[in-house]
Order: sequence, then structure tokens, then C-alpha cells
Amino acid sequence: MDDALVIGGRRFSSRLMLGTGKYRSMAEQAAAIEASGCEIITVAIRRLNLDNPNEKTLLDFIDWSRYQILPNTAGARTAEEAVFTAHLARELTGSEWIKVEVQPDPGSLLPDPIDTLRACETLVSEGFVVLPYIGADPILARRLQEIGCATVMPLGSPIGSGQGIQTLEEIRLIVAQATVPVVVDAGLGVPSDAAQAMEAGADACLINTAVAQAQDPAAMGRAMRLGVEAGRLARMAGRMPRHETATASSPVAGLVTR
Amino acid sequence: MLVTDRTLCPLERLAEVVADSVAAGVDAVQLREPGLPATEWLPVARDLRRVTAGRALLFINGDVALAHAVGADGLHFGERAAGEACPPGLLVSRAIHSATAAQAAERAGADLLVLGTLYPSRSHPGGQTGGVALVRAVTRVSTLPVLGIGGVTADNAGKVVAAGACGVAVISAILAPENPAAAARRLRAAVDTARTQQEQQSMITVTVNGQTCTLAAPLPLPALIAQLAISHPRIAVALNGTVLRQDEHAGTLVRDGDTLEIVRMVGGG
Repeated sequence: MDDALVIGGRRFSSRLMLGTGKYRSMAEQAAAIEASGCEIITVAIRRLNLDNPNEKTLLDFIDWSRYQILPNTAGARTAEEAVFTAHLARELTGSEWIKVEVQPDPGSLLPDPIDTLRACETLVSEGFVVLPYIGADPILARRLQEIGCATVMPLGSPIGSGQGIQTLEEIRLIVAQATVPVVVDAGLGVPSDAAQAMEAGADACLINTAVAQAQDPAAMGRAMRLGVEAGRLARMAGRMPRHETATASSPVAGLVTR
Repeated sequence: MLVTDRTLCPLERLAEVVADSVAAGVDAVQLREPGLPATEWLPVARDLRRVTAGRALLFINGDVALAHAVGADGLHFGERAAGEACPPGLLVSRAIHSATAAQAAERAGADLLVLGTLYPSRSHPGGQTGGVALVRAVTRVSTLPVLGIGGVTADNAGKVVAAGACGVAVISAILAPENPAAAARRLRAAVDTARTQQEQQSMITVTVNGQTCTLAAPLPLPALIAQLAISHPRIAVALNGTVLRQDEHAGTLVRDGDTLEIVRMVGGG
């Protein structure tokens, strides 16, 4: 069955995107990426440390011909900072893909809807493939898909919180109107959260902390992959209707009596 | 650079005078004896190699075979001489008289430019002179080291260096006086003083990733990256808030007061 995820004209068989922050070691990170089966990997852009300018991380060893690199603008507080970071990211990665994050409040890390929209308008007009991280706001999601964003990425719960999906009804509304892939990003803690997002109609999940900070990141990477796949299959299969009361699975006729 | 001239210093005294001059601060010697019979070149060149070995560079004017025979460091060619015959492993010094010739010489693979004629000189009397204006014009367009030649003395050497030359080349300023070593010392002192002043003036302060750095100018971006010991293959650079394309790095000059951001990838979600 061809069930490809298509973003910016590229086809992907995996519907799990992986973040690369907060891993305890390069070995754990490499194993988790492999086990997750992901094809899209996010990275952040930061100043080179002038005191140790040639320090290497796993990102310097990843075979980027195997993965779509997705740099983010995390840390940007305004639209202007996000656009600046996107320009740096494009030169650094050679990719037009950019995950737009504008977070003026370092405590909540909640995205600024107005500056996110402004940054996306600029970057879309400059030819970027724009994947905005947003609150689960169906109106904002619609505005972003209308201006030409490649996806919308509503949060399930705050970044790194592992609280699962606190925004299920909003995500359903976003899915119902979507003309671009809906990627649930942030807050997913366990595979059942990922499956829940996919069952609700999300097209993909982006997960970082839940895998990086698991006791066994490789095992959790595989579990998340299966959770995403199970949720996707369930969505495609079509769930049974809900009933107010019990309905027996076994025939009520021909009961044995004594 | 000391350029030889047997009309000022007979060949039998040359090795001794060169040795004294090198001890007094000459960094390079060019053996230039137009019209000398072929048989006399070799012993003279051998003597000069002996007294300059490990102390100063020896350039042979025009003669590739001789340069090889004595193990010279380089060859010197006139502006119009063909340079193709120059084999690898030898430095190429090239006489030039204009900015255009400097660019041509640089393209042709020269390592060092000897620029003249700056002031009226004994060896080129009555010719056209360019002064410090010519030095400025050439050092503006060329990245090669430039030595000023032609009527250079301890009195004007400082001005030549201040105009952008990295040093001077002389004949009579060293060979004509009674005491060549003392003359060489005075010249060297004038050049060194001017170079020190030049270097102090050409330090610039830039802000890189929020840190203040004082670096030597002029500073092409790749040189700044090298001075900061950055060899990371994946970086991006913004200059004063504008992100530079990778292919713009080489042609970008960093100036005093500039602000740079140099970034890399890190793990992130």
C-alpha cells in the first residue's frame, strides 16, 4: 500500500520525525535514529563556541543524503530573529526546509502566533519550505496553510513536558480543514500519545524528548515508530462507532441452558 | 632585499659585503649582474649561496639553470620576461612598474613583487618615478608582498612601507656607502619601525558571536576564520546582520567595528 507522507514535493514512508536534542550520548542518539526509522531529522542553529570551535557532534557524522534535514528557529523571540536564523540555516544546511518556532516566553516556550505568521509569510515568499510550530489553533493553522506553508505543526502539550495530547479536539478541527499535512509536535510522552494523534488524523508526529530521555532511547525510538504506525493504520482502517451501552460480541440467540 | 651591482661592489668583495649586510638585517639577496660573462656567474652565485644559506633568501636574476645549480631560493624576472620557464619549488620574484603588471604577475604565479621605480636612482637615472602613490596603487590591488625599489634610502624607506610595501629593495643605499653593514642596519631599522607602526594601525576590533576580538587587518573572511582557528566544515556566517552565501565568504573583507555571527548545527527539536 502506498501511503506516503508528502511534504514540499518530497515523499516519505516514515511518519515519525525525530529531534536531536537532549541525548545523553552520540551512541544512544545514533541507535535511536536508526530504530525509529525516521526520515526527517530536526536540528537547531547555534553560535559556534569560539573556545572550542571544531568540536564535533553526531550531526557532523550523520549521512545527510539519507535524511531530510529540518533546521529549526528555536530560540527566536521575534519574527525577525526567526527569519535571520532561517537564512543562516539555509546556508548551513543547503536545504530550504525550515521549522519556524517563535517563542518569546522562555518559561512556557509557547509559540507566538502573530510573529510566527509574519515570519512564515516572509519565508514562504523567499522560497523556503516552511513548517511552522504553532499552538493548536485551527484559525491560525488555516491562515498558515493559506499563505503557502508546507505543513502545520500544532503542539500536543508544552515542549519537553511529556504530558501527552491536551489539545485533541483542536487537533481534530485542524485535521478536518487541513489542505497540508498536520504534524503533531511537542509534548508526546509515550507511543500511545503518538497513536492517539495519528488516530485523530494527524499525518505525522515529531518527537524529541520522549525518545532522548527514555531509559533506553533506541527501544523508545522503535516503540514510537510502532505507535505512529499503529495509529496511522487505525485511522485508515476506520474506527467502530461509539455506543452508549454495551453490545455483546457473542450471539444472544441459541444460548445454552440447563 | 639587496640587489648586487659589480660597478658598486667588485665581485671579489661581494661575498664579504653580502655576508656583512645579511648580518646587519638584509633578508634577501638578488644576484643581478647584467653583461657578466657566463663563466663568472657560477662561482659568484656559489659564494653568495654559502654566505646566505640559512640566513637570507637568494634570488638569481633570470637564470633558471644557475638557480638550480647553486640551490638558490628563487628567481627574479623582469616585468616583460617570460616566467613559464620557472620550475616548481623556487620562489618567483617579479619586477613590476604598475598595478596592471602586479595583477598580471599575480595571475602568472609570482610570489613577490619588486615595484619601481619609486624615486630617482643611480641605476635608472632620468626615468619615470612613482613614489608612494605607486606603492598605494599596487598594494591596493595585490595580495602579494611588495618590495619598493628605486632610489630607496633609510630616509624614505619608512614612507614606502607606510604606503603598504612589506619592505624595500636597494642597490646603492647599501653598496655605495663606505660601510655597507651600517647602511643595511639603518635601512632595516627604518623598515622595522614603519612596519610596527603599520601593524598597530591595522589592528581592527570586531565582534564575533558576542565576543570582542582584535585582529590584524586587512582581513578577508577566510583569514578571520583561520585566525580564530575554526576548521569546522559546516558553518554559516552573517556579517552585520546579513547572512553570507557560502560562495561570498572568499570575497568578503571584514572591517573595523563589524559584527559577525558564526553558527553551526546543534541537537534540537
